[in-house]
Amino acid sequence: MSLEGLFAFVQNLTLAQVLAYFWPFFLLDMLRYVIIESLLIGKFLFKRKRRRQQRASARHQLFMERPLVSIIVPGKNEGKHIPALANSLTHQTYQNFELIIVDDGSDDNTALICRQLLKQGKIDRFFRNEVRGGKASGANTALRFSQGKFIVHIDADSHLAADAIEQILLPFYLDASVGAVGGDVRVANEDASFATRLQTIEYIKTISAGRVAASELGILRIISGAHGAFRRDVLDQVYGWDVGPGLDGDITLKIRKLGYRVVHAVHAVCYTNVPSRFTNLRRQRYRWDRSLVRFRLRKHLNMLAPSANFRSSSFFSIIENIVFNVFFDFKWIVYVVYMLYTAPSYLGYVFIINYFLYFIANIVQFVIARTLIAPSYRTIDGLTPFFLPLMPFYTGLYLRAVRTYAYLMEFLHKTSYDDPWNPWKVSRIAKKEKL
Amino acid sequence: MKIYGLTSEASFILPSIETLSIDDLLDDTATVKGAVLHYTHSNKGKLHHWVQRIRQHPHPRIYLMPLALIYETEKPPASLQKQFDECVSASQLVSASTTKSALFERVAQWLERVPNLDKDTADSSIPFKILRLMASRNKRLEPILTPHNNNGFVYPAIEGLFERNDDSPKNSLDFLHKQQFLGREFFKRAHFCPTCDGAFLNFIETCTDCGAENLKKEELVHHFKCGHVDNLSNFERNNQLVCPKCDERLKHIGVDYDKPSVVYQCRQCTLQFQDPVLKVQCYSCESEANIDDVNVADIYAYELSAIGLNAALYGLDALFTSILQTDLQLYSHREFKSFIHIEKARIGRYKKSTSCVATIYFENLDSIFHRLGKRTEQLFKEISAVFKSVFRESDVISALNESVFIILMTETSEENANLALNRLKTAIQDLFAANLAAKLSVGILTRVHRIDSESDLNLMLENALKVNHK
Repeated sequence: MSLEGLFAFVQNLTLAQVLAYFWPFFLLDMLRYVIIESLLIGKFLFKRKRRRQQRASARHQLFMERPLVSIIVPGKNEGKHIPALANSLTHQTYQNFELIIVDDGSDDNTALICRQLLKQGKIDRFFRNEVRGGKASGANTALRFSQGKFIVHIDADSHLAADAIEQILLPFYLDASVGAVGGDVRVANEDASFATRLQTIEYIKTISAGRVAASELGILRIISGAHGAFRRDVLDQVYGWDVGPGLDGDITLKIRKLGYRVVHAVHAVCYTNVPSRFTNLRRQRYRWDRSLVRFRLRKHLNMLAPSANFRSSSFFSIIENIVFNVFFDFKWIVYVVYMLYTAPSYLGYVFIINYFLYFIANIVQFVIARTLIAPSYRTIDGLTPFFLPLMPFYTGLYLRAVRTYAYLMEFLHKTSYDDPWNPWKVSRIAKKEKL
Repeated sequence: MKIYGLTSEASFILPSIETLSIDDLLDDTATVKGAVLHYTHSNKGKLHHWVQRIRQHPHPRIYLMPLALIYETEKPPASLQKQFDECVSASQLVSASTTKSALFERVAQWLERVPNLDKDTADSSIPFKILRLMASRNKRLEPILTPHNNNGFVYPAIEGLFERNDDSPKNSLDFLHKQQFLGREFFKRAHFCPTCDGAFLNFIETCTDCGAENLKKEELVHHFKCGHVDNLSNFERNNQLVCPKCDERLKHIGVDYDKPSVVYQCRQCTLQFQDPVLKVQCYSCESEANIDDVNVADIYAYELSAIGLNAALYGLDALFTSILQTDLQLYSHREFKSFIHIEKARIGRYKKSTSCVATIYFENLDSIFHRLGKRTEQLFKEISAVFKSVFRESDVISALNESVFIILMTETSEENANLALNRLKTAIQDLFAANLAAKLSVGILTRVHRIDSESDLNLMLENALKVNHK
């Protein structure tokens, strides 16, 4: 194997060989993540420009009506983040909100901190559940006591850009059939570590760009818990959140089932702290990935069945999700086996060329995503793009390995029910009831 | 000891006890005696008045008089019983008279130990009377809770010493404790109105927003299966708990649901919240206050200390010595004598050194106490600071009595000793001038004696006492 050998190998490739050796890239990943996504983002940008007038009138309407917005922050042992969160909210361009903190059985000084803030008037309502009930019950408690027309759910350890509330509310005024709006989540601790650099690029690609594309296609299937807005009447119809993990995706599906549109507001920015160590990152992804199997393939599989509230977009949303995430995740095993069988001697070249192809794809994706979020883009030192060459390893090997393992574990053992993320009493029922 | 009976009923006669009118009882200060007061339902008020008259009498033989309460059928209330040394039923009295008189004898014996009992006939200071009352009974002073007093508690044993039902008993005891005459032990912690110090408070939970008191308290229910959280009342359907979200029946708490917390709903403004604002309203002055503003104070039980016991026996003047004693580390008279003896021997042998004995007499010192009350202690601490600055570590200080101090000043000439004493005098007089009105004159008289082999301490002390009598 040499450089000349590589060149010779590339020069001698026929179109049929290219397809034979690199079909996962050309037929799936490039098509899906580069071409289709770029087209959709292009459509979004074009539409956005054309609808400038409508956006202005929606904003006018929002500020004329000034509906009360309930910002709900459920969490356990998050007290230390609350003062900063409360302070950051004072800078919001949209100010008619109530901040509701729910302490889900914290065993630290969270209650003390929050009661102090309540006294100082920095938070509006504070509720404490002495016994932990899990994230869903925390969010539902907050919902129970909220009075706003819109509910914005945010994580305690994140903070919002100054116009985030305004931006996340606008889609409701642009389209009356919108039931929920996802906010953009970006990485706050961009420069903290190697891992956070890679996650910064990943978030821009998959959340900012990926969800805009999904939203354009009408198949957006998740509103992140870190930052999402809901119409109160819609939440009341679905009775709030169901038991998690993965309750963000779950509630989005429930809202879709009712026939509401779910869209992504890319300029409603929320900055969140991502795991700065690979160990913690692995654990986080393991939890997220398992929930996909649990919710898409177990709980909401009925969305695929033709029924009264069948909608093709929901159908495609699920299919796309299952196909691209679960099914295609296993394609790389097939691909490796296939290559070992057909061209074992060229494995080295094929690997290098694959890396090169994915690297180029990453650059293209990043440039497009960066263009998309340009108006609300913020960076700490601008060094993150230099980590792009590592992205193929990060997404192609690291995340894929974690995901495959998570899917297998969930398929075989339903391990998500044993997750300490939920109190045991809740997990036990969920497992028994096959939720 | 003669025991007299006091009754408002002419028909009531106890065998071997002579009945007497209250005035006759109070007039006779010459004999040691005790009194038995007869309780009937109708003379409750009168009894308290009698106790007050006896306890407020200035003569120790009268105000320290042991008192027993006897009743026939109806038992007197605890608050009244405890104002007396004994409480017995009339039938018991005849059979148990020997044991009962033991306490009476104790008081009589204690009174005999008091020097000059018939010369100084008036004890006007209430704190001092408390000390003597406690010393003669040798009993712990315990408060009882009562609804009849604004403070909510009372020290019945000393209640009679006070004219009014205010907080002066507490203040007097506080003072005595600060002066180290009484030791105290925690009894109870209580909340008092910030406006009137009343103990009778109504604690009210109010709405965080509108301040209304009319709140409804409800439990929250969390259904595990679907994660629904709502008020308990929204789960109630036909005497069962049914989840409004998933229509499933809740069966066992802790198994398929739990109650994570409690919420309040204001019936006035409908706001729901978890931490109501706690307010307090006083029953006596009706003022409202925030819970944070309520005074929290400790109530104590008191016991006489050794210093207090001494002071009770030998009079108020002794109080000042004890203050100075603790601050100045005074040597006892015997120790002082030894030091003088050694110093005399040393000077006699080496014939090189000059040492002096200084005497200081404070005139009219007890007037400071009456004048300054609680501040006396502070003033005396400052005086002892002056003592400390003027005298050296090598000087030996002793107190002859409350207001006469003798100091052995080693390696000091008469001239230097006088200089030092003058500095002391000016500093203390400045202190007095700063703390007392001009009217009060506290004189400081000093004298210096040089020590030589012929010096006689007794002579020096005599001289000091001569200064004393000048």
